[in-house]
Amino acid sequence: MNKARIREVAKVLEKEEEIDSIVINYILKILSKTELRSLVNYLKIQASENKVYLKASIEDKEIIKEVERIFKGKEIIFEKDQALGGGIIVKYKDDVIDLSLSGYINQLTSTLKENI
Amino acid sequence: MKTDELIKEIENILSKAGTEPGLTNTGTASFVGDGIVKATGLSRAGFGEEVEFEDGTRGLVFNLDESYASIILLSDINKVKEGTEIKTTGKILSVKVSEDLIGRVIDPLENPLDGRDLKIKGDLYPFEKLAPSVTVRQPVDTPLKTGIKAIDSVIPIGRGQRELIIGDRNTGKTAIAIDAIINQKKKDLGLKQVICIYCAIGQKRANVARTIGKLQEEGAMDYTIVVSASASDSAALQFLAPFAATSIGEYFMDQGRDVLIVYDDLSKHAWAYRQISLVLKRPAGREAYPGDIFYLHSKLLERSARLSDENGGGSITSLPIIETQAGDVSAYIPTNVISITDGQIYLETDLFNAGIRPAINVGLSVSRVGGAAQTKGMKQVAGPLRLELAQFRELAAFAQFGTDLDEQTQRRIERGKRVTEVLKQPQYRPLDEVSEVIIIYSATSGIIDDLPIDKIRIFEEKIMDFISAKNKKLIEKISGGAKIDDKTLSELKKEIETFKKTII
Repeated sequence: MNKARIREVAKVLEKEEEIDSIVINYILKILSKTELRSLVNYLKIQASENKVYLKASIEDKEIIKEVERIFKGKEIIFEKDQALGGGIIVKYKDDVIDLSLSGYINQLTSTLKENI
Repeated sequence: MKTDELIKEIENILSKAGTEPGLTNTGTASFVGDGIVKATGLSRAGFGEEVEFEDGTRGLVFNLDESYASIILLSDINKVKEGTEIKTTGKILSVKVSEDLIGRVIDPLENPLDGRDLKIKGDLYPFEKLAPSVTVRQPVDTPLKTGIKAIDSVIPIGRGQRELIIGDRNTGKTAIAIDAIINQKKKDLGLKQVICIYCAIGQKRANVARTIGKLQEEGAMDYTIVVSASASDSAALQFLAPFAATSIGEYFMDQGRDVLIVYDDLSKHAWAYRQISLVLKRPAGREAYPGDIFYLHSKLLERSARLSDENGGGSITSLPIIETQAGDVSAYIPTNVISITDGQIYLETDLFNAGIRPAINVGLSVSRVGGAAQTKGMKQVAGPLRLELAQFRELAAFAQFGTDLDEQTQRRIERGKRVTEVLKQPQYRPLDEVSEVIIIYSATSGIIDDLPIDKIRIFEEKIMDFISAKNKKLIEKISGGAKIDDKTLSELKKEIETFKKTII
């Protein structure tokens, strides 16, 4: 099975809430180890395309609403993390936007270490 | 630093620090082994970009495939495991450069190896950089004196040249390079001080320590930087070492200074690059080297240049070293580097074993810059040298058979023996221009044709003291490097003959 087909299979599978065991057994039978690895990678990519991870020290409904507005149609998964101190971290696919207080302090600390 | 100064410095840095949100691209390690990490994600990572693992380990993106990026580890590989988070830094691998590096021993990532702290405040120079273009260069016409008679007379090196030192193991390749570094202490001919960088790639640490000890003893560490990636360091560090050394050299060149870089040796550099490429599953070519092995060395050595006066007038002279196996200069890597460089100094095991040290095969060695990098005085006295030696080599075989030879042939053989003897030189005893000119003139002019060969060593050792004591003005006339007029030549001849009589 070529990579384009595997990508299509991943897209279809990702949409399902639950995958039938017959389908899984069939896929395991027909795909080689390398192809399976590719399928898993594409499934991960597909899953990440539809989800946005939001971390904040407090659960602020307005911030969550704003993030939902920016990432229309994506599922927002919220996680509370007091270590952030303030602000938020947004993760979408591979990109991480760090607007947290702890991130800013880390940035300043490394700048100071590099220059002094 | 005083407390007030430190507070002011911190305030200054903080005021300039950006407040933009940090956008990083992340990934996850899916395979770790053999010094490389394969990572999923990292969709925005660029080739040659520096990445950071969550435990602080640094890596370099070396391959970009469809679904993963291959990263070579720059630090201890044992801490990274599958599932470790990786993030891009947005930076290409660079080295911080300043005057503080002079006299220090560092690894390619600027970690000090000499037991002292190293804090550098300076510019960042990228490891990989385009070589200076044709328009910013000027021709090589200033000598870089090695202090070795055989080289300065027959295979002269100029500032901005790349001269390969090639030979089998234990033929004295590193010795030539170290003597060249030590000789820069003299600031001969009133030329600019040369900053030296000794780049040890894949060498035994004991050997590197011995070299550093010798440089310290001779006072050469006052203008030398040592960049070392030893045999026990990872292939990634051995691969990066010459690039780090070149970037440091470019800093000084951009300031208008002259730099000498010794790459010891590029054979091991090629091995390290081959190892990395094979582990990354890049297609293997001849002798299992990757297809871009030529480009690896050509892009490195092309960064050696002599810049025009409008661009500062600085230069980088390279002395790459290549180790051959059983004298085979037609092997893959040696032929590659020979075609890149502006000449080669070929060392032979047979000559070394016969006591001719430095074991330079003058016939096979060449400097493509040639006389342009010699002073007029040296060109004048060394002119007949190559021919004398070539004729001697042809006739030497006859001498072994003990056949009756005509007078002219015998004279040629005797002259050749003395020239060969004169070109021998003890290690760590580089000579200045004047000494070289006088000694070589003694041989090529025939003045010492009747001096027993076993007296030539003493002749060389004492001639300069004799002339300095008796006729200092003569030394001054020759030291400028200008062409020696007939009057000075006859004066010199007279002094040499007078001294010769005291030895015979």
